[in-house]
Amino acid sequence: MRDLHQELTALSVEWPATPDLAGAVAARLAAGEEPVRRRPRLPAWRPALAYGLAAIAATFAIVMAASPDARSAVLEWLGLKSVKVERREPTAPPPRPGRLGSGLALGTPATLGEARDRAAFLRLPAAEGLGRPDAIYLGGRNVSLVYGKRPGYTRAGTTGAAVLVQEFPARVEPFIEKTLGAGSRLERLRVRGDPAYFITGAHGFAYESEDGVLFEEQRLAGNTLLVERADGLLIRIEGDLERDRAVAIAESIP
Amino acid sequence: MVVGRPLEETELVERARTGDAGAYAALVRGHEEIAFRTAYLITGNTADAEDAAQEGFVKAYRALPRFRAGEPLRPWLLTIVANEARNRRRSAGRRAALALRAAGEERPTREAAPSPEEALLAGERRAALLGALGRLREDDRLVIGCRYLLELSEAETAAALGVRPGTVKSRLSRSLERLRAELGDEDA
Repeated sequence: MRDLHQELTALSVEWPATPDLAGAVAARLAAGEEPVRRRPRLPAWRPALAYGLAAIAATFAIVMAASPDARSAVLEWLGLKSVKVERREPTAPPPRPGRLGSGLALGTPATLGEARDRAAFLRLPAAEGLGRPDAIYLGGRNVSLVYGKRPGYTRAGTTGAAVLVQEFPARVEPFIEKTLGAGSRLERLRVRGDPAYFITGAHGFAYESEDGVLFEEQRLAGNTLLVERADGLLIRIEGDLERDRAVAIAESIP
Repeated sequence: MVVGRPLEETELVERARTGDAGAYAALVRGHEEIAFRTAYLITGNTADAEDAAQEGFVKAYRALPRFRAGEPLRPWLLTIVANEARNRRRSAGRRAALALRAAGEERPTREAAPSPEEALLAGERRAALLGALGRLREDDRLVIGCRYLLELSEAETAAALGVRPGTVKSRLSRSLERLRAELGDEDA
């Protein structure tokens, strides 16, 4: 008879990538969420309610299993076959006081200098009217530039941000279509010769990086442009933006 | 000030208690993976798991004045995070689906590399094992997941499940019996 104990001990599982919780928690604490000793109760501590209010639309996320290669037996833990569509409740985070974008779980706030030191791949867009980002966050594998409302760019949803530009050293192509949910529309285009996708409607997206396939959620209400550049940089521009405007921002990134 | 070695957890806890957010971030960094995975095991999806773990860590920071100095931090953190995870699972309304897949290779052993046939058999067995786990009741899945997949101690498993430490051993043994039965059905 097989030794179940030994088999279970030897079993190793591919867990989803751990998000940057330390960064997100640090950002929340920096935004004024103090230890209980001084402030026993904060109304802001009711995320369930706040998330409920902030709910705009359900997002569909698709959990993918690996390709059926010989190496891995892809398995279901609970009735999951190779692809599963999962209906997800609100993804729009509640507004939080403090730094722009601090409620978006983008990682650790950073100055431009720090971001350049730690994310050598960072390129700033130079699109007209956009100017410098109002806030910069370093995630585990990406850098996020957050722009508040400014002429020509309206603020999206409850987050206070007008445009979110994220840069990843990663590839997105093989997975993009699998991650689109109902209500999303995908348009393929080229931005300076590189393959790009303009996505209308809420969505998340999966991308392949050195750490495997990771999943990102929609953060602002609005549309998203993804550009997969030949230099290995994946650019994601999110906001209440028309296609041409999003393309102009992408083209302005050196 | 002399800094030349990583701070011990107890020192970090002491600093965090006095409002040192950097010290707390270091503590979170050290425990974020196990906290997230525990939450994932409970909620069955990454969004809820991330949310639960983040909320748990922020609540734990606020509750630090109540943490008993000298106690291990991890079970205490897992209690808070798992509680957040259970609240989210309940509010999700339906049982969340949990997708895990076996890594391509088993954990390294000192034995020689398996032949392709052996590797294939091992892969099928892993598939059967995870499939059978998936068909178990949630309670059974969780206790086995905590002990074998997350490799939590009995005390930590109790913390994650919200049960008394004394009950973990007997629960695990019953759950393993049901897993055996499930696998037996499959082999037949």
